[in-house]
Amino acid sequence: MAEASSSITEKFFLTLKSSDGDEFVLEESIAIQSITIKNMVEDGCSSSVIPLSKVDTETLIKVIEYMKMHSSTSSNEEEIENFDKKFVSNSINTILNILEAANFLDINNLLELCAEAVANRIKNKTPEAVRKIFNITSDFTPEEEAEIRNETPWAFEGNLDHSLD
Amino acid sequence: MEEVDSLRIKQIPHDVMIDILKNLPGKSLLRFKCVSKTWYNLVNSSNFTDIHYNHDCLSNDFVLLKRYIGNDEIDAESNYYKGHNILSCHSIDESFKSRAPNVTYFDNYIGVSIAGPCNGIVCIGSYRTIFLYNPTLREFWELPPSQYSSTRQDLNHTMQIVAGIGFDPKTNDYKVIRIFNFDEYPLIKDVSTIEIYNLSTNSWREIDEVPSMIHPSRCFKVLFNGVFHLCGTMASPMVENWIVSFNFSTELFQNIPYPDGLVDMQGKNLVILNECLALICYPTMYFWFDEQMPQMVDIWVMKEYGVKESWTKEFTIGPIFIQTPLSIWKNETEMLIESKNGELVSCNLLSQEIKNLDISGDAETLEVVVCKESLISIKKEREEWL
Repeated sequence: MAEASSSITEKFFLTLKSSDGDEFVLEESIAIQSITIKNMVEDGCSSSVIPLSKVDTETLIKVIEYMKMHSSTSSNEEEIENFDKKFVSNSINTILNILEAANFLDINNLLELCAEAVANRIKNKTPEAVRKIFNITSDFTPEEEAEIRNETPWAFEGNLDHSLD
Repeated sequence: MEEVDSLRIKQIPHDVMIDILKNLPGKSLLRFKCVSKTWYNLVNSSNFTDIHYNHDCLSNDFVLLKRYIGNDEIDAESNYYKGHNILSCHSIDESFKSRAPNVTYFDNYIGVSIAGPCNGIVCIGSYRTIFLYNPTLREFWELPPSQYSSTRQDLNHTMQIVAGIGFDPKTNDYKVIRIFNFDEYPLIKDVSTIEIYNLSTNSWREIDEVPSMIHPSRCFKVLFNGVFHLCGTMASPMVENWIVSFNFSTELFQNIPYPDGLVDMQGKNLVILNECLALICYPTMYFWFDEQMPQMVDIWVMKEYGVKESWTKEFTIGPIFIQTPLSIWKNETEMLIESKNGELVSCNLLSQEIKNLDISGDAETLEVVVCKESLISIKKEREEWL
């Protein structure tokens, strides 16, 4: 069945449902950039609504925006490049949410884009700022931390960034 | 407000964290080791250091430059002007800006030479001593002297030596090859003596002599696909020049032919271009009037590894003033060269535009390797064997 229908140029649509309960209708050819959705379609789950319990509405809107821009036919390279640049200028927290969604939905180029963007944003930060951004509590004693700092004191030199975004 | 806004309720999954951290420069990762025990263990794990090294991230590429800066005093032992070998790391763009403070290398012999990189680690050596160096970690590892070489009285500044680093993926062992050309007059040998160092044993051993004489010139060596390549000459049955390769796994040597029609008197430097072994041929100066004239440089690429017929002349550059071609860099669009007076210069392979990088050393002492940031620590690799 799937073989036969793919040869026809008719458009298929999928309905994606966010964790907040909002539904989004999207062309199947665009949505299957997500390997997770593609697998669901191939397993025959596409007739009903696809629930994405790990992705909230705000994040899903961004992910759909990205998938639309990156679907092969409609955009040229320069447009995509500019879109990506603007896309990763969101707050770190938003990018992290998209990153987690990209991981869950298995959209590799979105994951790499966001991972690189987060790395660029944190590379000059202090360990304290990084802890806050990722909600990590240090489990080192002050002595242990001092020892690690002493292993490579030069890595803590220079103009470090204390901000959280 | 800012803090509440940025605070994440749930933790980022471990594999997503790896995807983020693999994009970071080494200096940031060393700093973030103190974020938490989980991050500390991650950055220290060999699984992560391999992922990080093998991940392509252009901003993690840099140039390691070695140059010698002499002064007027003369060293009693070597009879050379006393001076220092300076190691410096530079960004891979026109700015060539310094990425770390310069390092004065321990050995102040003028003939110190660099080979590599292999997994981000280079081998620096002279007849005196050999060190492995990871510029990202700023970590040095001194190799012990070999039993054989420490008994040789004639192991001194007059002899020619070349060293190179490699990795044997079969045994997960780092190895260093050291090649000597002992000049045993009146019985002049026409083969080189070879020693191999294993990190696993932290010791040297001698291996069967290579059936050719390796030319230990400072530039004639490159690690390509894990195999070390040098320029050499086979003396019997008739004198023939070859590229000699050494496989760090099998420890076998192989001869690779040059393209036809090369002049023996030409200087040759091995580099990597378009993922192929390549050869830069340049004129060497024999007469004073050679130096007054700009010269032509040819770049040959061996499109199919080991196949003589596949050598293709890809670029002809010049006429330019050149002392020695050093390396190909900037996404393989430019060639780094040492100019007549020890200045580092970059030449675009297509437009042939020349740019002075405003850094220099004593003539004929510049060497560069294009490196990638690496957290792979030789000290830790050694501890794995204990």
